[in-house]
Amino acid sequence: MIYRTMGIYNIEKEYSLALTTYLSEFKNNFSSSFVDLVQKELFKKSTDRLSLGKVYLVLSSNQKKPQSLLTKNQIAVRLDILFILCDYLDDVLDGDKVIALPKNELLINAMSLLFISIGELGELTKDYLDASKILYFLTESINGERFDFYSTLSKGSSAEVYFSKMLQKSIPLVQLAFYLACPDNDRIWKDCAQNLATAFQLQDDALDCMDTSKSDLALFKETLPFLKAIEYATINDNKIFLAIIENRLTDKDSLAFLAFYMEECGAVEYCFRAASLYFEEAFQILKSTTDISVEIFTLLKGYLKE
Amino acid sequence: MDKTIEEKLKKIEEEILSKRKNSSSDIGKNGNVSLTLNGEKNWIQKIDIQNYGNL
Repeated sequence: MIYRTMGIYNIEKEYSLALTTYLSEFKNNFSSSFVDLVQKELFKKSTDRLSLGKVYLVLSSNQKKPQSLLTKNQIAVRLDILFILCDYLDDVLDGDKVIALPKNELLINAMSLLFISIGELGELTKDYLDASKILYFLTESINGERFDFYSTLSKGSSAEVYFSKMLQKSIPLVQLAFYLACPDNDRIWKDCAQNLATAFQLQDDALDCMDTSKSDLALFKETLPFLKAIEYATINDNKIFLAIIENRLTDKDSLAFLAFYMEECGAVEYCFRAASLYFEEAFQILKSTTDISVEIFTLLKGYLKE
Repeated sequence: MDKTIEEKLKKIEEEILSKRKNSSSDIGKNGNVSLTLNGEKNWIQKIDIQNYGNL
């Protein structure tokens, strides 16, 4: 949880108010099934999930920007909406069975809300930003998503491809949140955001590769844990692991073995430890920039490490 | 990948691999699969050995 009080301004409280206002309007314009879905996700972000909207609020509270606190809170909610919609798109494309809504209904509602949110974000930031910059980050992200859609392990797969292409879907979204907060400091919105997004994605990929209900295993996605596991299986001459990949076996037991081996061979540990290094790098950048006070740094580090 | 991080990861990797020397997997005639790590069998599950071809 983020508690930052600046005079009468409390981030948690203000964000919740902005959320309630947003939802009362949102309920009037979308189907109840879609509203329920989005509402649940937003409340998760409000409580136990990472909210990049709140990260934006903390970062921007240190900046001397012309927007009112009300505007900042409205931007934060739209940012979280954008991230939720991108997650839905990712789940639909990967065929993950986590969404309790027919795909076509989800797609039409998500696309509609996506365009509305981009327009609102452009309007809320028009006094200090060019809307084309927002579109730039989103275009980069959707290009990354397209790469991810076609991604499957091949002879051309490598850690370099993972870092340059597979991470492209998530890095620009985090950069967008950081850019809206600190557009004049590219160490923050570019480098720090890139390191943080890399750390988050490494953690996600490490968790997903141990979960047979997620699609990464069955689709043989060229994620870093998969690449490291192949490397380690080759070193140890683990014929079973390599045969499952070679023959693209997706029966229950083969996937269970892949998931088990990912952890046992050290690929998962490698990714978690790599994520820690990227987190530390991000925090080093934040600490060294004069735009971020010690108080903001401590607050952010605590929140992001939760 | 960042060069400094890459260097640190190389050391981490050496550590990871040295902890897991000589791991191996076997499929028994009855279809049970085991993974042996540091001399200890860790996982056994029945699978359809037809799927794995001639290992």
